[in-house]
Amino acid sequence: MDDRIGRRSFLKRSLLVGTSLIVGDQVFGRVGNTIRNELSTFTDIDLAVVEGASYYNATRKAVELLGGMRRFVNKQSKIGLLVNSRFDKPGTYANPQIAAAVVGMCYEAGAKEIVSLEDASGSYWRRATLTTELKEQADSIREPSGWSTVEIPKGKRLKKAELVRDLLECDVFINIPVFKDHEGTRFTGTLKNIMGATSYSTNQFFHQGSNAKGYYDDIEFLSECIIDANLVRRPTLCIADATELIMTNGPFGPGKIVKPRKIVAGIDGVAVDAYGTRFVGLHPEDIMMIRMAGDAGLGRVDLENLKVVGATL
Amino acid sequence: MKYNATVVLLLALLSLAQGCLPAPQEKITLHNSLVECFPDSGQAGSWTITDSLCIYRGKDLYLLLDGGADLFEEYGFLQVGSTVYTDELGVAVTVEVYEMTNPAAAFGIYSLLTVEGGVKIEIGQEATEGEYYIQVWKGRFLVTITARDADRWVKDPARELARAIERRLEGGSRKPDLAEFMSGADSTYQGIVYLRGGLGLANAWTFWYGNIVRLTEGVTGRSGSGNSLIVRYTDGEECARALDSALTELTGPQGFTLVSRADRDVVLHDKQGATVMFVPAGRVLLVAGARSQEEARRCIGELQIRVSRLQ
Repeated sequence: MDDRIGRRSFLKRSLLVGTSLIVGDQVFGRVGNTIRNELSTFTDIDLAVVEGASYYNATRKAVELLGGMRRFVNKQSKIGLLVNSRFDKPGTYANPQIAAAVVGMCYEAGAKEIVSLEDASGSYWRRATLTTELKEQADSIREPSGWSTVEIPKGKRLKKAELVRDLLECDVFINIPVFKDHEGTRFTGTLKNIMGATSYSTNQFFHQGSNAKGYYDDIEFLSECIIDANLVRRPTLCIADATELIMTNGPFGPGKIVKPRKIVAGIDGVAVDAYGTRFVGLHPEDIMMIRMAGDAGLGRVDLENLKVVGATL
Repeated sequence: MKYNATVVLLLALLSLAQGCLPAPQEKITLHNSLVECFPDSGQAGSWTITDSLCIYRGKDLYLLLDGGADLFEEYGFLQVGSTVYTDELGVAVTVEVYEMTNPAAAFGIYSLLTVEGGVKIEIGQEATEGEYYIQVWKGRFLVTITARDADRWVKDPARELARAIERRLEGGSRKPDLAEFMSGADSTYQGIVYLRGGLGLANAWTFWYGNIVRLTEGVTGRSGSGNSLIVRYTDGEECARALDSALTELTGPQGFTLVSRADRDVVLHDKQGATVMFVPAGRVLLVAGARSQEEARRCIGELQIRVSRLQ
C-alpha cells in the first residue's frame, strides 16, 4: 500500500499509462475509446467504478469519469469532507490516499477552504505515505466548528438533529465512506456515514430513541433515523472506498478482508450504496436502510437501469 | 521503571480528559495491572510501544469501539488496554487486551471475532492467526494483535509479541460446556461461536432476523453444509415459550411457511426454500438451518446424539 504519488506525477503518468475502459453494465464488455472522449460522453453517467493498484490514481480517474472535480467545485467554494476515519484496523476506514486525492482535486478546482465534517482520529493521515504536497494539503483541512440543531419536518422518526454546523454551511458536501460489514445494519456506506456528522446525543437517539435496550435492538428505527438525517443534506459527490474492506466483524474489525481495489463514485449516494452491497456479498434489497432510501426518493436502487462506467488502471 | 511512570501519568490524564466512568457496579475485581500486560521495549523481540497506551473501562469502550462496544457488553466487558507497537523494520501493529467479566465471556467474544480461514496456533488457551492478525484467548482475556497495514504482516515477530503478552495474563477455566459440546475431540463442527445474546446471534446466525428465540446462552457451528444452533434456557417451560414465540415471528413478519409440526419437531421453509428445524429437548432447543430438509434433519440428528451430556 506504499502508494507514494503526488498530483504532478499523477498527471504526468496519466499521459503515459494506458487505461482500459469498460462501459455500461460494468462487465458490460463494450470497450470505450480515449479518456478525452469519455469526458464529453459520460458526464451523465450514474456511477464510475475504477479499479487500480494506486488508490490515489483510481480516485482521480473516477472523478474524471464523472466529469471532473470542476463539475462540482467552483472557485472559492467551501468544501465539507465526511471521511469514514474513526476505526483504525485495515478495511475499516476510507484509505487516506483516496481522501488525499479528493482534497487535491478540490484545491485544483479552486476550493477556498476544506472542512472535516467528522472529528477524525488524529492518526488518520499518518496511515498512508503522502508526498509533502499532499501532507500540507491534509494539514490545511480545518476541524469542524461546532454543532447546529436542525428541524427535519419530513423526518419519519428523527424530527430534530444535532449536526456538524459545517455540513449545513458548506457549498460542496463530499461523502467518502468505506463499504464494509456492519453488525447492526449489515452494511455501511454513504447513507450510514452521515452518523459521522451527528452529535453523540443524536447518535444515541438513533440507537435507543425507540426505547430499545441495546444499540442494535431496533434496526428499523435506526435505519429510519439514518434516512431522516440524510434528508437534511444530500451529498454533492460520493466517493466510496471499495479497495480493502472487511466482510465480517464490522464496523470495527479485524475481520475477513477482501481487496477489490475499486473506487465507486457517483452523485446519488443511494445508488453508490446499492452498488456497494456486492462487495460484502449482499444485495441492495438485503439492507433495510437502502430499501427505505429508495422508498423515500432519496436515490435510486434500480441497479439494472443505472449507467455505470468502469475503468481499470 | 521509567515507562510505567509515564503510563501511569498518561492514564491519569486520560481519565481526566475522557471523563472515564467508574468501573461497572457489579462486584468484580478488575485486573488492576492491565498496563503491565503490555511488554516494555526489549521484552518482546524488537517491538517497542510507539503510541500512548489507553485504558477504556465500562461505557468508555464506546470511545474505542463506537458501533461495536455493545457486542462486548453483551458478553460482559470490564476494560481494555490499547496501544501500537512498532518493530525494527517499521511494521506497526495495534495491540488490544480486553478483560471480560469471566473466562466464558472472553471465550465467547474470541469465538465470535475469530475469522474463518484462520489457523490455530499454540498460544494461551486458544489462539487463531489470520492473514494480518492474531487473536488469543486466555482466562478472562482476549488479546488482539492487528497489522496497521494488512499488506505488512510479520508472522513470527507477531507471535513472539503475542506470547510475551499471554505470559503476563492469568489463566482460567475451561471453555463453557456448550462450546465444549461442539468442539470436543470427536467434533466435526466448524466456525463454532459461543453466544450470550441477540447481537452475537445476529452476527453468527443468518437464517432469520432478530433474537426471536430469546437467546441468553447458546452455541452455533457449521457441520457439512448445514448450520446448528443450541439454545439453553432455565427450564423446559421457558424453552417451550421461546419456541412458540419464535414460530409466531417466523410465520408472521418473517414470511416463513410452516411445513410440519409434530410432537417432537417443527419444520419451516423461508421464502428462498431454505429449511429451519426446531427440536425442543428438555431445557435446550436444538435448531438446524440448511438448504434442504434432509440436511437440516441430519444436523438435528447429529445434535440429538450428543445432547444428553448437556441435560
